[in-house]
Amino acid sequence: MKWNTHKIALMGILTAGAIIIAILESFIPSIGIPGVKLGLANIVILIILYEIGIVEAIIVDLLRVLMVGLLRGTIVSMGFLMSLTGAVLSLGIMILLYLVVKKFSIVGVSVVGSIFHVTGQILIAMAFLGTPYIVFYLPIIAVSAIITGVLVGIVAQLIIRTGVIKKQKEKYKF
Amino acid sequence: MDKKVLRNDLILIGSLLVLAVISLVLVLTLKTKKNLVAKVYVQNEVVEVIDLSKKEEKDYYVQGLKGQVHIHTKNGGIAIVESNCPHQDCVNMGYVYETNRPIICAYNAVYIVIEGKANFDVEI
Amino acid sequence: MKKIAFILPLLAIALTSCSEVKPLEKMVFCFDSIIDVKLYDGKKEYLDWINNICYEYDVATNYYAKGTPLGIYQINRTNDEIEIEPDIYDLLKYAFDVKDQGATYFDPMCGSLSEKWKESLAKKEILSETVINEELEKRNNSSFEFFEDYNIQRIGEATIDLGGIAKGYVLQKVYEYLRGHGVNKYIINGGFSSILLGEKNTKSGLFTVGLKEVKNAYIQAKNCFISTSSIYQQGVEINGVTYSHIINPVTGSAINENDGVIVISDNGAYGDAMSTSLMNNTLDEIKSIEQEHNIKTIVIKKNKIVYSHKDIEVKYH
Repeated sequence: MKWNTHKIALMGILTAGAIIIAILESFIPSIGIPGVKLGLANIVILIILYEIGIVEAIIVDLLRVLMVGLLRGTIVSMGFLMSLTGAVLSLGIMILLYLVVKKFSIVGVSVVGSIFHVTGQILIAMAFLGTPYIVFYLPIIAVSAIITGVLVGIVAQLIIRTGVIKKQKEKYKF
Repeated sequence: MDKKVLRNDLILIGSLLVLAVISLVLVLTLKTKKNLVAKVYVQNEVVEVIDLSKKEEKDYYVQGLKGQVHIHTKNGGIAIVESNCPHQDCVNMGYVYETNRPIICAYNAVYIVIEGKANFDVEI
Repeated sequence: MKKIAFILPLLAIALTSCSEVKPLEKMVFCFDSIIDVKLYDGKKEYLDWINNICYEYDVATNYYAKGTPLGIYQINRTNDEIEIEPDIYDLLKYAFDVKDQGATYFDPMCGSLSEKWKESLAKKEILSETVINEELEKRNNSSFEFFEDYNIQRIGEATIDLGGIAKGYVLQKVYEYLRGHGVNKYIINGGFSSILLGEKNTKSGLFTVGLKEVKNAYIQAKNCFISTSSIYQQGVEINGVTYSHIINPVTGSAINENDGVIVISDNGAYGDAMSTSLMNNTLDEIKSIEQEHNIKTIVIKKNKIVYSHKDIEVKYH
């Protein structure tokens, strides 16, 4: 794993992309449980995971959570913790599936990641608000997470297929 | 794409979707319809119990964690109409008339849950 | 796959409808309210018997309308020695004797005092001390005599009012009738004040009884009478003080020591009389009466339970 100037520049662009997507997405109102988001930034994370590396994916994801928290002013609030937990759980399972359980395509991995993402968010919401009632929104959020996961996976796949990142890697040797 | 991987994907996504849809259907259909009562919680404690079957139009003001929350009932439904939370998710939810659809204002730790009235055999 | 999908809902419907046996039900209009009778076993003719007995006692004890053949109305308008029906004789005797069983603040001969308070409170006025004292004097100068062959005599100007015991007394009769006919599963809801519980048609047989006056509170009970008195039902608030329809026969006051009393007993008439009387007893007095006369109570003040018998479990939902 080499970190040269070109790589840093590319990572910077990708991180910025993830942050922008996440911020735009945060303006979409959440269904029922405040703070549960679609997770579209995962498109970028998935691309990095599959095309560049695991460590790089982790770095970008965490940076994304931190920067969005700072920029949207939600840092040190339930919303921020939801985002963080969601990101950690989702990335964790995706890395596991990508590295160890090599049975699913990027779409499958994306769906599982999406589900873990909302699960992490809901767990924090439950802890902060007190259980029973939030559970009612779980089914609709699960359905939305599955659909989003599929779309995110397909988009990530399409972008990977264009070979844009591959070309960058070959050209600049990282 | 590898056929085997595609099959795995479809099984995975298919079964997850089925589970989610079944639970969605359950949540949507298993609900009490009559004699509804709305319970307003602030930080997990019931501060107000409102009988929705009376269909009164009334305002309620509840002290939440970070400010006052304005609740309004109308025609057997209930809504948070004003709140000082930044995202206004709770206000955007509008009026709720059924059980299984809690209104949550996380910022103020206020949530409203609609339940069926307790089923007593007799009241004294 | 299709077959299972077809059978499952039918099975579900079958199961749910099996557990719900339709009870024999009748609403009896009497004592200015409704007695809701639900029998889970028994025959339809039992409902008719219950209806008739409620009607009989209603007519006989009605304070404001003539009884047939003779009721409280006529008794209150004569001082002659007269013969009355055995049923009414027994009821009157019980009402006067219950004082010896701890019912210190229950007096069946406070009819006119109660009436005056009712009229006054209807105008949102407090009854004057003068009138109260007049009424107490009237009562002290009156008495009720019981003779052989169901003869009675009212002496003096004070009138009989059996409102605080009649319903419970009738429920006691209903209980004895049902027990005699082998009916065990029923609930006779005499409205807020008097309830007779048999067993419910479920495994535990327990009924869930909600306490209207205490937020979210309820108890579970079976095979007993539950009698309730409270200021919240017909109370009138004047200058921040609530005046109830339960008059203290000793002081003539309409302000009670307690806000609500629930009595669980094995005799309907006794329960009713006690739920009225205990409204003016202190907690200590109530505790010793409980022990001596084998009843269980719940005492309510300001919409909170200030005491409940150790065998009563109050639950909150």
